[in-house]
Amino acid sequence: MSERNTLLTYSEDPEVASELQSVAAEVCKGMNLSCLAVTINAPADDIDRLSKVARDEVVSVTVAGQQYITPEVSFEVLKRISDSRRPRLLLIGSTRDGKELAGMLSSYLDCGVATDCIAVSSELNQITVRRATFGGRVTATAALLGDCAVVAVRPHAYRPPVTQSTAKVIHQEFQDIPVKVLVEKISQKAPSTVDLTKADRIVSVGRGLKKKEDLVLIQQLADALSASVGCSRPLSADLGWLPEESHIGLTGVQVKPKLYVAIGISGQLQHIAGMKDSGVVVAINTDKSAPIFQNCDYGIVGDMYQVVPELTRQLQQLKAKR
Amino acid sequence: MQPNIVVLLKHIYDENQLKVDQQTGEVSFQGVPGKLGTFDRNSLETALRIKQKLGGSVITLTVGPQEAERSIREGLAMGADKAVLVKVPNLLELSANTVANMMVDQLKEMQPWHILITSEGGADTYTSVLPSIIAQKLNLPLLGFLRSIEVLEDGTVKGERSTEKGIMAISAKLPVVVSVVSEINEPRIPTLLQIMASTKKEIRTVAPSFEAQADRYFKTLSLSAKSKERKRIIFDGTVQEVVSKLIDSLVGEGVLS
Repeated sequence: MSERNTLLTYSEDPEVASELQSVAAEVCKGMNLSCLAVTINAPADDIDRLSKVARDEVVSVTVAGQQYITPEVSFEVLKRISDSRRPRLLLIGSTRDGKELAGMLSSYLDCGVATDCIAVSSELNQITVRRATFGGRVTATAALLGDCAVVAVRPHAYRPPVTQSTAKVIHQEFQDIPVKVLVEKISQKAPSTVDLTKADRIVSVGRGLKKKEDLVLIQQLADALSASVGCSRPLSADLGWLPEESHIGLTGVQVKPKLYVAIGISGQLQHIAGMKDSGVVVAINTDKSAPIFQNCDYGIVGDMYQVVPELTRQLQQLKAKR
Repeated sequence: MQPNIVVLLKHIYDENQLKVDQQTGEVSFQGVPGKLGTFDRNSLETALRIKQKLGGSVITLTVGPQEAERSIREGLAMGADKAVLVKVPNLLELSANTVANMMVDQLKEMQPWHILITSEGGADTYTSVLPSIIAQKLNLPLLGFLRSIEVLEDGTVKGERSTEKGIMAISAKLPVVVSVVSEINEPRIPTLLQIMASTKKEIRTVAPSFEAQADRYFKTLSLSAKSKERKRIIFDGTVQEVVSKLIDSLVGEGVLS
């Protein structure tokens, strides 16, 4: 058998697919691998953009008869490419689709897998990853053993490469992909307009908010601070008061603004995991024993319905004076 | 259709009670209490609701140490009929791949079952790969990250899959592997009577199908919980005063626009 000297990258999200090229570059510092960026049923624009950041080749796969590329379809494609290219490493975007794909690939290839990785490196022919565990409180560094590995990288943990390249684009067509799961209906979200990962200031709100209409108080404060609005998981996932992209936490986005204002957020580990790298942290909460006060620089114990409007008012005053 | 349902349960260290050396950030598990994985309650609740509607059975499967019995009992108190514990002493040193391999061997012995339900991820390691590894190994359809589920009389399972891109209505024929997100339900809290009754239910302890002294896929090199030291200044006074003090501090930090 030939030596494994290929690196495959794939994400269904074109932005994440570009970010994976930076991860590939990092890994290639310690390993001499030929890099293949795979796309499946991607629009020509996306393929073109990827070819400008990909290192060696882009394999543009067309799968006939599939309206939506589910993990079982992308698995079948990457499985077939892996059979012929024998990859040393597969880098996948750690979205929900991507995590399932990563699990299936590692099962098929009988190799190790790590998901939600925030850093990937290689040394002495070994792949090392960093990822958050225990509700985000602990950072684990781990080695993937064996001669093949699947690593799913957290979206936006890396930026796309800035250097331009001109990777060769190869087109491939796959047929007869077996499907066990039927997709009956898709309600796709409108493309996200908020990117909290790039925000300088964030006002974030949690269960202390009594009703959706009161979000206006939070928005007014955010406007006075020139900040973006985020939230803890219950507000987006359970209540649906804010879009999923606003959810800051272990299973949402991880942010590092200069200023983070947590309002009515108790500060469970899973939320702290999403904001612990922030500069200055302010907490406003009625419960003085809430864990958020252990994780803040400045705290106000009080009712957000009194504190927030007052804070907005004084900030507006300050702005008017300047 | 009276489905036999298997639910994966994990006994984990309570992440809120980990011991951390503030200087080095080193993590210690000595004396840290264990608990039932937070999200596993949602998977078990999903199974119990299906059983309430259609009948059948709910068996839990755990890979873990003897102490895991505590969490398994909680599952039995919630309403699971029986439990299987694949006993391994060193769960923390085992990769998801190794644990999945052990589970697959056990799941083959537990056949016939129709639905395997897992959570969206272990509340400790949160790898989220067990369901997809198991589905691939058993060549079964995977209905992943469901926020709703319905089992139809004709053996079709329908659900709403929730991903970053939106919601998707998907379906497959039994037997299936399912993972559920925590928004799917509010898990029940067992009554005292149910807790007492659970002690009479059976936990079958079995040895793993293979020895895994050293994991061949994955090796944890270090665990660090070094966190940024925060100032933790709590302001005193009237609303007007505390807000004014806060703004002064924020101006001093140079973080206002």
